[in-house]
Amino acid sequence: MTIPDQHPIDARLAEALRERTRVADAELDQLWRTIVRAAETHPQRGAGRWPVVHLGRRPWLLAAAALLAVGAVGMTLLMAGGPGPDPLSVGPHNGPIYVTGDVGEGWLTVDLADGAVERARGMEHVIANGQRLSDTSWSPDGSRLAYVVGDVGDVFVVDIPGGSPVRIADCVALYRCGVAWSPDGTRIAVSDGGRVDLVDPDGLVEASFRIDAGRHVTQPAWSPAGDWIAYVSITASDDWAVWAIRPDGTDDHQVSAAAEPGMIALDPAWSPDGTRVFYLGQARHAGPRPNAARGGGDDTPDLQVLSVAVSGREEEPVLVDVVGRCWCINFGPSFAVAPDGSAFLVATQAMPVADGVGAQDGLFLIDAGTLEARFLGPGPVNSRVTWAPRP
Amino acid sequence: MELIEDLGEVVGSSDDGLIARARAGDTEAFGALVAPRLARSVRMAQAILASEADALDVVQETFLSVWVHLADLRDPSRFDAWLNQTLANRSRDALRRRSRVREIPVEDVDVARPDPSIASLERTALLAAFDRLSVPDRQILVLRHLEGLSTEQVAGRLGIPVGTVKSRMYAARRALERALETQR
Repeated sequence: MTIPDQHPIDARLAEALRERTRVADAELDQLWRTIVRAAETHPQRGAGRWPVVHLGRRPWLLAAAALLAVGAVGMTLLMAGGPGPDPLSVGPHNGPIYVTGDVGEGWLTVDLADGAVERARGMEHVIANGQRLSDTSWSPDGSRLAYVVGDVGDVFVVDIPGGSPVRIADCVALYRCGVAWSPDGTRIAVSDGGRVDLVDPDGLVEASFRIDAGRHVTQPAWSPAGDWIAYVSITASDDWAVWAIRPDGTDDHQVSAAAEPGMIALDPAWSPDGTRVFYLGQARHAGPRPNAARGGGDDTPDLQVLSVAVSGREEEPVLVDVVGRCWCINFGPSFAVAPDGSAFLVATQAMPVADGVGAQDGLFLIDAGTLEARFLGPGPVNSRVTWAPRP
Repeated sequence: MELIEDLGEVVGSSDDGLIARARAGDTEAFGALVAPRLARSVRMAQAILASEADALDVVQETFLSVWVHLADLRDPSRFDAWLNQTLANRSRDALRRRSRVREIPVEDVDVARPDPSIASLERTALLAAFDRLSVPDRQILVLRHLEGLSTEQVAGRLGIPVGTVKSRMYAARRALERALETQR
């Protein structure tokens, strides 16, 4: 690849742009004075840095205001209960669960008893502006959140709690833009259509790569060692599968089973040792389907947690059937793995139809060892879940 | 520019020192950071937006945003890259706002004393093609061809590796050529 410096088009472009960009010195002088005057009257954000108080350590500092906010926006996660000791934390390395939905976002606070989850209590807002976030990713130390604002595709980073969001990128494609924070904390992968930018937390694009034409990248996820990025690939014919690619754009390959017409893959997440990718498989069916348990239709579960080795296509058996076989349609389920790999979290949006039986709509916690699933409670509409590391 | 000459002594101190002082709330130091970057920032915005008024607004918003968020800049050596990214983002915002407000077909614009020469028509076509590029593509072409920066200097301004500059330059040029071809 060569770039001739003296290509005729370059000289013509330079000349045309010079004609376009003439500004009088007096205008610049006036602009400079205006900027300095504005600086004199605008306080700098975080002069001396704002104090970082991690919710995971002091979850009750914002509890009162958060509960008020919950009431105001009609969040209906509440099931019961007085104050619990901590947001959900199954194991010492796991921070709180973070949930976004159509009417805002916040921590899901869950009471613990003897190390087990008992009940969801409510949402504590982290970014108190009611935005609908289409993807989120935590910094490895759990102190910052990268997120995509759903309607406009802008990507922000914010210190948690109390920081002001700083925009670091925006998505041109406006189609399932995704973010993933690298495990060393230095880069954020921003997927936008078929392109992935590796952006530093200040918003500087350090590298970019583009996958094959005709596929979209979404829901990127870094491996723990930072040597792979798993992602969901969506083709023009609407095949959804998990792929993995090196951060330099090489070794792009499919890791989930060959595209199955009856299944789409969602939300890849890595095992802590980096050898496997977990993901959510969702049955694809055009409408409500018969309930196999009641004697009709196929017996493919609506939602399954699956596992596959990144090195090959060694699909493991279904780990768990999340919501059973129901007469229902699942809209936008979401999946996360605890940072220590001890548990899975699934948010479902199952809408029962007719006399649907067995459809449970909400947030499920699944023990990765026993595969025992616990229903935590209903989530906000269009829930997306992530699991923060322990700060 | 007289403004910059007036501030020569302040600008002569290191940018790291100016940035440190500006982060501490020193508006004089911030003014000294702005001065040598102002004209080129306006040129960049004007090239992208094709409007002097919009460019002046965007540059003002950009520098004010930089001032407000200066504490977020972790590596002072990347100040220019950060500034250029902010400028690109703000320019993109302005383009979006403009597209939401109205669109004026080129043939409807009342151009006083149009210049019918072939050179002028070519220039108009070239700028129309340029205006169809993405903001990052426009930005890198402006740095290279309007500002006349070397590949290494462009890398410094954008905070990206030289190899990335080359590949992005190549892609931007190809995009410009394709945009020109579709007009013919």
